[in-house]
Order: sequence, then structure tokens, then C-alpha cells
Amino acid sequence: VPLLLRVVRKAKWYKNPDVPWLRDGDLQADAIADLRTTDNRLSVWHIEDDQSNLRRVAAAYAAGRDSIANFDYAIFNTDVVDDLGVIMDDQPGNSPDSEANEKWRRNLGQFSHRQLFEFAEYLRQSGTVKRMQYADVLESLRQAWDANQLDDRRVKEKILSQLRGDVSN
Amino acid sequence: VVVDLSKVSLTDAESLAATLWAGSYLTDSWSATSRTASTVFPGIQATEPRALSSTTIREIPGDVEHEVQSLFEAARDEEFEDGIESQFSVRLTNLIEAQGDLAMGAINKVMFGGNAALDAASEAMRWLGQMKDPETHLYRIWTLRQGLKSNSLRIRDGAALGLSFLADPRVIPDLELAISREPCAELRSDLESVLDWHKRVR
Repeated sequence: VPLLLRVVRKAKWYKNPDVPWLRDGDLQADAIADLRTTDNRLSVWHIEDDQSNLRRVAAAYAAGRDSIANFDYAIFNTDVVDDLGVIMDDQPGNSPDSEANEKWRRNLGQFSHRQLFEFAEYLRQSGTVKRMQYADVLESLRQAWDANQLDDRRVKEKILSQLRGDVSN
Repeated sequence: VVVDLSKVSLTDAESLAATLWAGSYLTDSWSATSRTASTVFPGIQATEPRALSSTTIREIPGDVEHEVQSLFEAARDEEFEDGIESQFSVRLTNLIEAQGDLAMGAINKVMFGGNAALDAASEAMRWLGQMKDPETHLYRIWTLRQGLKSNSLRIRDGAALGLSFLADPRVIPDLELAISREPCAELRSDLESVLDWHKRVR
């Protein structure tokens, strides 16, 4: 079954008992900030069921940042689209990897506030929140760079310097 | 009070800092903070400083302290995203580059005195590891090592991320200790990844 990926900040998604004040079955309220919509839409990425494109998607996203950093994400089943009654459409993104944008960038749309909270609850129950560490992101970016997958005109100089080996960090 | 730690070992730096935190060499303005230090850092005890003679002790100028307080206060309204510069991160790193250990002293006071929003303190930890500033390298590492001992999961997470940007084998024992004590399995796994990275680059 294909999967979807949403970029989040992992620490906001820690649950009870790791966050002792949090009741069992609840999420930290800060997690909702990771689901901020624009025009009632939420940007996500399509991930193949064998996750074969995960590193490339991570590199595409990370290449569009100001500097190289960890990549935290929630990964979940596409069934959620039907379960929630939201729509999914292809929305070419603006990451420096144009092929990744065309192939795997998606939007989940027409979210009501209720559906957004249901989505958060779905992620709590069925999603998996993971972290790709800085070193792995750097390695993924180098692979993407070596494979000419990144448009360097859309990559910040700070990142380019690291990819070219000008600086260590 | 701030101690220039750039020329002392981590052990001596920690001993000095522990002494300062415990109140032996604190000014009045630090006393309130020192009372909370034993809660934030249960391992800290008052000990004799072993390297005071090789260090410089200076007062934190009021304007630096005020700027740091203002910085963390403004950060309460900011949303942070990994790898994206924010007003907070730019001001924080500029301040450290300009004021060095004086800024670090003020930052530690705010972060570990319980006066910073968790998200801001966690974000600060990340940038303390990510920024490049040789003058404050040791003090920033010391702060990240203390962050690993925080009662707050969010701050421990930020400290782990901060350390993931560095390649300094001196933090390996701290990471190993943090892993052995970390109650959150997810964070423990992330700490193990960071430890592997430090061992690989050793």
C-alpha cells in the first residue's frame, strides 16, 4: 500500500508515558502546529510502499532549506484520504529536485477543522514518526547532488558549500 | 558571572561550571537560578574549582543579559522548522559570535533557569550545535551536555540534535551515559544514532 509523508518535528509527537503530564491517548497540542494548512490544504509526499524513494524525497525537501539539518517526518497509509473524506491531488512542489516534485509531491485538501483533528488522531494511532539524522540527510543530499538531481540555482549557498566540500558544516 | 572555558578540558570546565551553578562563586543575580540547578541537573554538586587560575571570570553586562532575555521572550511567538533560519536563530547566533562566552553565560542562565519556552530552548540547543564559532565551541558543548541531563524531554531532544551536528569525540561518554539513563525509547534510539556518528568520525 502506498504511503504518504508529512514533515513534522519529532519532539512534538512524543506521547505518554514519555511525556508524563500527557494523558494516555492524547497528543501534545504543539503537534497540531505541524499540521498547519494553507488554503485548507496540507502538503505531503508520496512514498512508495517499499520506501525506495524515501531518501530522495528527504534530499529534495532538505535541499530547499537554509542549511542541512535533520529530517523529521510522519509516515502514514494513503487510506487516510478516503477515511477522512479529504481530497488528494498532484501539486508539483518547488524543491530543487524537479523530478521528485513532479512524481511525488501531493496535496491533501478541503480540510475542515474537524477533519484536521481527526487526521492528528489518525497519525497518533496509526502513523509513524521518524527522524533521519543530520549525517544521513547530508549523505542523501550528496547522493542527489552526485546524481545531478538537484538544480543548484534553487539550493542555498550554505548547503552548496557543504556539498562541494568547502566546509565541514 | 561567566567563565572563559575555551582553554580548559571538559572535565575542568564541568567542575568550574558545577561550582558556579552550585552558588559558591555566584553573584546575587545568580542565586535564584542556582537553587533550581540541582533540579535541572541532579548530578551537580558544589566542588572545588580545579582550574580557576587559568580562567577569566567576568560579569555579564546588563545589556547582553537583557538582549538574551528579550530574544527568548520574542521566541515564544515564533514557529520553528528544522533547517530554516528564524529571527530567533539569527539573533542567537549573531549574539554568540559577537559576545562569545558572555552571551553563552546569559543564554544558560535563561535556558536552565526555567525562563525560556521549551520550544525556544530546544531550538537554541540545535543551533548551539549547528553554528560555527571556535571561540565558544567548548562552552556550547558544555551547554549541550547539560541539556542531555534536563528533566524536559523536549530539551534533551534539542541537545541530542545539537550534538548530531558536531564531530567531537569528547562527547562520546556523555552520549553513552545519556543513553543508559534515557527513559524515552524513541529518543534513546536517536541518541544511539548520534553516538554512532561520533564514533564513525572519531
